[in-house]
Formats: sequence, C-alpha cells, structure tokens
Amino acid sequence: MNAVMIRHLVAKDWSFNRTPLLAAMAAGLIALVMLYMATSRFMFYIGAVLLITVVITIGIYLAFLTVIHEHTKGMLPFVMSLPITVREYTAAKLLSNGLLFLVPWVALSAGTAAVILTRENIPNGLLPYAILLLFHMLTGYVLTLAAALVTGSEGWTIAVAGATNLAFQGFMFWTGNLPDIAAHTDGPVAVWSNSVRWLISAELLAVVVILAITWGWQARRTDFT
Amino acid sequence: MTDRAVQIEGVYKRYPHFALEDVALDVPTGTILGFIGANGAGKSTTLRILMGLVTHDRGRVEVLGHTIPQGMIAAKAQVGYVSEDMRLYGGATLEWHMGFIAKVFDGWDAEYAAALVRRFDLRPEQKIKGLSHGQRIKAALLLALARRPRLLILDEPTTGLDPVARQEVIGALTEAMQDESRTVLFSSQNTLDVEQIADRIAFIDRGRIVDTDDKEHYLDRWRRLRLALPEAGGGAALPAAVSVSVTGRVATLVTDRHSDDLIEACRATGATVQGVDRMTLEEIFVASVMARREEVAA
Repeated sequence: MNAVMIRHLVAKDWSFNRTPLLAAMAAGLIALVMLYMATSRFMFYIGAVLLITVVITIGIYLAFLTVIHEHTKGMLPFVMSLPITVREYTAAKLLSNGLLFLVPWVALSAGTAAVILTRENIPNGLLPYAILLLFHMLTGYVLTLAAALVTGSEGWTIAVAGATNLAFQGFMFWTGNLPDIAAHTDGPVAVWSNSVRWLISAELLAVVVILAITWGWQARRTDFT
Repeated sequence: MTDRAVQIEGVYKRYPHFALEDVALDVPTGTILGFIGANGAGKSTTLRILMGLVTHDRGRVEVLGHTIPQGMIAAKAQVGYVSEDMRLYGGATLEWHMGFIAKVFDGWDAEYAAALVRRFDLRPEQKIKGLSHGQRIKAALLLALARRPRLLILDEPTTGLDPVARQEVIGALTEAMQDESRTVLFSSQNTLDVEQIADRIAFIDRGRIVDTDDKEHYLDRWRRLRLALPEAGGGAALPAAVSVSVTGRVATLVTDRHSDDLIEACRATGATVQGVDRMTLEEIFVASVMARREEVAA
C-alpha cells in the first residue's frame, strides 16, 4: 500500500469538504439546541427530525461529493493518473469518508446523549433507542457509500440512499415497538436491553460486511473509467 | 534504462460491443508516436490499459520497463497522462492543483510550471470551474509536463481547442521533446497535429493496429496515382492497391506500397500515369479506414 498517496487523497477530500461539513454540523447543533430547549412534544419532534435529516444528508452528500462527482464530472481519470492502484483509491475513499462522516456523527451522537442525560423533561430511557437509531444511520451511510464506490452511478446511489432512508423509517417504527425497547424509552433509566445490544452488534457487523464486500469487489474490477 | 518506453504484445480486451484484438505496439524511448484512429477505434482503451485504468484480458503490457497492471505504481510515477475527458477539481484553483501534484511527484519543476503558466496565459489563483475548455486542457497539460515525466500519454488533448490554443499545446509538446529521453504517445483524430509533431505513427481501426511506421517512411509509402485508362471502365487489370476508383477512362489508385515498380505495373496495363501525388496524413487516414470498411463489408 502506498500510504503517502492515500494520505494525500484523504487530505484532499478533507480540505474540499470540511466547510460544507461544518455547515452541516452547525445545522446539527441547531437541532440539538431545539431538543434541549424543547418545551413541547412538537418542538422535540421537530428537533429530532432535523437531527435525523442532518445525519442522513451528511452521508448522502459525502457519497456524492467524494465519489459520484469524481466519476460523473471526469475527475477520476485525473486521480487515477496519479501513482495509485484501485485498491489504494478505495482505501483512500473509505478512510476519508470514514473520517468525514464519523467526526460529525460522533459529535452529534455525543450531543444527543448529552441532551438526553442533562434535560430533566427528556427521559434517560430514550438514550439506548436514540443510539440504536444513530447506528442504523451509520449503516445506511456505509451502504450508500458502497453503492457509490461499486457502481459509480448517480442513479444507483440515489436508489440505495432512498431505500436506506425508507428502511430507516421502518426500522424506527419496528424497534420503537419492540417490547424490551418500548418498555424503557419513557423510563428514568437508560436500559441497554438485549434487543438494543443485539441490534447494535448487528449494525456493526453489517458495516464490516458491507466494507469487506466493497473492498473485494473493487479489487476485482478490471475497468476503472 | 530500457530502449522501449512502451511495449504491448498480443493484447485483448473484450467489451459487449467492442474488442481490442491482438494489439501490438512498440514505442522506442525518445519518440513521439501519433496514435490515429476514428471514434471508437480503440485509442482510448489502449491508452487506459497503459495507465492501468483498464485491465486487459490477455497479453503483455510494459510501460517504462514495468509490467502493467502489477507495476503500475512505479510506471505511473514517471508518466504524465492527460485525456480529453479528464477534468480537474472545479472548486479548486490551478494553484491548489499545482501544490497537490508537487506533493505527489518528486520531479515537480516549479520554475518550469511557472513558465508554462505564462506561456499558456493561465492565472494560478483562478478556480478551474471558471476556465474555458481550452484553458482546462492547458492546465491539465501543465500539471503533466511540470512533473517532468519520462513518458507523456495524451489522449486527444487537442480535441475541442481553438486554433491558437492548439498551437500553444503543440508548441509546449514540441518543447517538451527537447529532452531526447522523453517519449510521447499522442492519440488524436486531428491528423494535422499528428503530422506536425509525431515522428512515428500507429493506426488503429476497429480494435486492431492496422499499421505502424516511422512517419516520413509512412508518408513516403502512400501515393495517389492519377491514371488515364486505354478504355472506359478498364481498371480491372490495374495492380492491387488500397483503393481504385474508376470514372470512365479516369482512374485514381491509392497505394500504401509506392515504388517505381508499381508505376511500371500500371503502365504495363496500358494506362497513362498523369500524376503521382503525395498524400496528407488525413487523406491516408480516410483512405485506409474506408478501404478496411469496404473490405469488411464485402
């Protein structure tokens, strides 16, 4: 692996995307403030929707800006004319995207946890469910990124992003009604039930499997134009 | 150091509607090879194989002594590549791109880059998205040239350029070739550009290299003979050629094996040789492609 080249490519993606990312984080901060200041269920709902929207949007934005645009707007030949292989390109994309997504994701997850644990009118029991949903958004993002890398197609990436977004709604409804999650979300204590632990483990496993498949697929590609 | 900058042997690459078949090409170090072919002939695919962007199904490819794709990193470290469909990052300035390439390539020559900026009339602080097509190509060429590559691979770099920009690009290429150890592989549909700067020529048509030769020798081989036949429609006895067209008693014979013997053979059929014309590369290109297509259609 040409670590120096990978570092250059990661730094490039970071420098191109840090400003819009900061803007997105600012929107996420507004969502957290809304959650913190919420005096009604409606305001809390608006804050939660904004937070979810920001996290999902960051993921879709990154997949498009760092991968799809390079394919569709013709920068890929420029990048691939550098002394790198397809594997190194893939490694650079996974690393830069990991960094660019995880920084706001971790910050907003920590912010969400802080809001839940410090606000008296928000039950601490909501925390495991919120963290579970944030992990599901992480998985959705990794799937969208994988689609972008493997297909290089705007259409397929939009389709996968749409499907994961739709699946998120179903996941939120399904997990919110699981008995050992639903029983604690309004409670005063954060209970990390079996369902929550298993589902978070499954999400992490899915992330690893998606990344492994993407890596293997890219390594076997014979046409990178 | 190898005396061959590029060696391709028996390369095949199959797509659903197109295939490169048994492509062989030798590019000696220090030459400018003009790679000519119609749209879809296989020029870009061949060049992309050299850059490791496309992996061939079969055959052997070596670039600067490195086997492709295994040795592509070592090869690409010494190659400058510009293609007509290549775009730089629109939101970044030329200066950013120059800084980025300087970090990647040890051989980056900042003075030469500055000279090229002036020569190409570019402004480093300008964002790429504000550049015209010609300026974008010149910017990409600057980034490739200033890294002082041993091999330049240029895929249709002059396509879509206005005449002034085209001359600037060709001038920079000619200047880059002052270094005799540098090799240029230059694909184009614009035969005038190739005729102007190439010293070797390779023709590709429908996925096959149909001819490759030293340019002067190549141009010397091709002639158009204007003949007056002894009787109308009597061209059947004429010697074999790339193409023969007969209108009444007037025949035009295009050959890629011009010699005094050929002229004598024409005379032996009773025809009068009214003229022997040299052909431009464009005329040769068209005659060659048309003849092959007629052959395939027959």
